[in-house]
Amino acid sequence: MVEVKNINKKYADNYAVKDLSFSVEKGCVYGFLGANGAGKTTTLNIITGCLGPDSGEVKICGKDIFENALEAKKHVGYLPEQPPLYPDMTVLEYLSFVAKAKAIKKDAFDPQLRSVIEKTSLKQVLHRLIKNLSKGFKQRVGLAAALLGEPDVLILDEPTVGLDPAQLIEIRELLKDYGKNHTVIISSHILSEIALICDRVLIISKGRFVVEDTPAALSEKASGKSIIKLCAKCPSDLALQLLKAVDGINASLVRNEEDSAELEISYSRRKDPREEIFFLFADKRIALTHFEQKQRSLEQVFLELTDQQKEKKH
Amino acid sequence: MKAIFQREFTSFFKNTTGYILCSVFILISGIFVCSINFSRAYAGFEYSLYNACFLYLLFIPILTMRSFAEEKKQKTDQLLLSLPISGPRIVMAKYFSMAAVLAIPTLILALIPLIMSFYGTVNFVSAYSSLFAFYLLGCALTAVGMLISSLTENQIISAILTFFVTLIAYFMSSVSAMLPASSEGSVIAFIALALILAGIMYYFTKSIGLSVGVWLLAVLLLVSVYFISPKLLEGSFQQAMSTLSVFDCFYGFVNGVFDLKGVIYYLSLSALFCYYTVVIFEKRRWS
Repeated sequence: MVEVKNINKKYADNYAVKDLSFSVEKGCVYGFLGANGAGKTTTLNIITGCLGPDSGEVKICGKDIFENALEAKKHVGYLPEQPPLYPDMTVLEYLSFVAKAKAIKKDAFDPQLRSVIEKTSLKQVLHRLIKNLSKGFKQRVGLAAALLGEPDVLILDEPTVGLDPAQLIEIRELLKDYGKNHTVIISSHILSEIALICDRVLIISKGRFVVEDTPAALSEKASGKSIIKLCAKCPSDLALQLLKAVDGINASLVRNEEDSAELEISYSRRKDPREEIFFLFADKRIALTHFEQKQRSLEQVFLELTDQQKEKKH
Repeated sequence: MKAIFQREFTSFFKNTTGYILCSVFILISGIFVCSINFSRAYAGFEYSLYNACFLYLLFIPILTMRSFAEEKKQKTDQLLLSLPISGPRIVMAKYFSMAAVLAIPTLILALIPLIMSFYGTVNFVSAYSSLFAFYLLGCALTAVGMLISSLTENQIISAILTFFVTLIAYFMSSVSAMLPASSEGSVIAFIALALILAGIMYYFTKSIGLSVGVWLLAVLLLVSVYFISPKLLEGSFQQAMSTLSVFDCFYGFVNGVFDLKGVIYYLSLSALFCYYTVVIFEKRRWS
């Protein structure tokens, strides 16, 4: 659906994007992660044809975004970081304008408008001037405009900024649903949103590709280690003594209570020791009041991987 | 393209801009008509248009200032760039919308010769050919204003620059007539003009070498002509300014001459500045 090959973009002496390549298939919600200034918006602007790369190629549904721009853009719906809204238009006027500009056929015009208005819950503000809308509603109008024409590729730059919690949930569901039969690319700082919505995540740092995989696989890749958190109803030194019998783990005491100990155990993914640990305590008739495998949060993964990238460079 | 045209055209009339522009234009033109034609019983509608020309100094900057500057400021140019519409079509849609707004007071002014004909004999050919040239003059200036708007994010700067450019165009012939008509005077004036054009070239290309090179070439050429045949340069600057002056070109129509060259000149200028606007708009993608 979307193929990006070796794109470069330089501003003065700095590379905003350097030698970036990736591809996104249909039926995938793709997250674009990166710190401020990492090159996310530049990359999205290049993919949508708003910005030209210094070199490289971008294809949308097999069509080059610059050689065959008009055909490629028919497949794209774009919501930039700041929704491109005309303040002097009403919501309905704006959406009608975008629908006409996207050359949506006459028989599909009204159904399309009704559909996006319903999906983004804009019915109550249809006749209000855009300049009088709240930030959240403006974001929704921008999203509605991007959805018009049911584009094969939906590209959203920080789509959840300004939305209240209820709206966030709605938009999350909308994007997940839309992503089942289309391609959605979301760029965000809010890592928890990315983890909730996206099937795959690409991390970039300083314009360079760092890693691309599913959120779960990224969690493994980060340091190759997993963490188990457990609370055992026994003295801490007994718990630590027992755990010494398990190979390939590293146990550390987190908290010591009078009759229980909270421990954190890290291990490499090669061998899962959970069963062994469980039976070890069970055989000694020691109750485990808490036994949980902790997934690394995407924040931790992101920080670790971008730090690794920095280390490789030095 | 139609969607952009409709949006741009209706936006002038969503607030008071379009109404005020058209009303003031018609009002002041009407004052000239009353003063020159009706109170003096003079049938030459062209002379009212001749006097009304100065209105473009105010009308065109206000008409064109928002066309691209506002899009940049509001970031709505990103919407336009992401739509499946080519850059030239976007520019032409905006241009035609402004030409359509300009057409409104022009069409109302077109009623005046008909009204005048109830009171005397009117040379309709001269009147309407002057009105046509008046409209084309406005369209050419609109293209210039649109280009200036594409260069900046600030509407006010766009309006001020367009005003100054229109002012220069308005006075360029009469100011150049005040300069010495000698060959030396012409050489100095052309060198100064070449310097200004080199400065504009540097602004667009950021290449000192190219700009200085072109200027030096112009200087060399002028000095060569000066030494080979100085008589060629006598009065040449004034002649060049008069030929290039968009307002002087209109005055020919006022004198009853339907100058096809003038029509082609206006259309060419409009096309040229629209083309440059497309270049600036597309250049943004690659900067």
